[in-house]
Amino acid sequence: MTTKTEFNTVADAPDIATVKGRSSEDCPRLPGPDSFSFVVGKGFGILPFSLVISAIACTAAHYIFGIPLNQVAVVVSVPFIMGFAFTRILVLVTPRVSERPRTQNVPPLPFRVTATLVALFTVGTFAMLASSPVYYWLGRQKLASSALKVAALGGVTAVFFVVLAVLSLMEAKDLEEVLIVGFWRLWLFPRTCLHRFMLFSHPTKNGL
Amino acid sequence: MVQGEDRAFWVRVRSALYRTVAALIFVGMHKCLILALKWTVPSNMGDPLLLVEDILFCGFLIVYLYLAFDMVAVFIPGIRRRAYGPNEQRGVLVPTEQEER
Repeated sequence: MTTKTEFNTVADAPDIATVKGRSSEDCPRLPGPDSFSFVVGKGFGILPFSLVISAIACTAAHYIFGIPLNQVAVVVSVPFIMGFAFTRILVLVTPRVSERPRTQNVPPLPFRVTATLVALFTVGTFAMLASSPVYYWLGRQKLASSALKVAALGGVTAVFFVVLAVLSLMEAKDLEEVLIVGFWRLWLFPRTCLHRFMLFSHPTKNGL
Repeated sequence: MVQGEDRAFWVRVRSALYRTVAALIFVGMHKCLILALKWTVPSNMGDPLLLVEDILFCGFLIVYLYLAFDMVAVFIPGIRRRAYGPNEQRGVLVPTEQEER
């Protein structure tokens, strides 16, 4: 018996229990967003991650940026609110990924790790970028400037992880070629610029 | 038996109630953690205590924001559809290629 793997919508797809020839008691539906366990479970799922992030952010705000302890909560909550708003806007604006059921294998682990880091740094960058005017409005000009610097650093790191993610998908042979050609182009790049700008003042050109 | 739009309304009310209860649980946890901290840590340790309170506030803030967004999504169908997909899709386990093998 062959099993159908392509469906027009997720609604057309049978339950996993039906596919595996088992009854729905063996393999019940996941709790939907209307159930209590889904809401509380989602909250408890977010909590450890948010506590770790807030511990890093509060410690950095106090010990690196020198913010007084009675203001740390307000200063740190600004990028948190902005980052959360950014992710919610993304959820509302971007099309849903699971319009069709996923029939492919999961991507390799290095790609998943780097892709997660890219997402984290991108959200962080936009959060800091959006918090900068808020800090300025709150009268903390120095902090606004620092937020812009952190955003720039986060953006560069995100781009670096994008490159890593792309490289992690390549075969070893292709990767070798890309690295060699890439480094060779990088090595040639300064002399390309030199050639372009010094064409008319080079000694061999006789002042032409 | 309640049908149609009435049923949808009561489902939303129930969802909103669940979210309120969840928010109360998290607020309770937050307050209990702060109380436990103040009870266990000596009162002369001012600064680290304040920092831990700030960390707890910022950590729980994301959960409160999430619950607030969820509450909005319960009552605005457009946001709800965008966030969770159409009705028939919610909570359905779809087979992947790996599971089918």
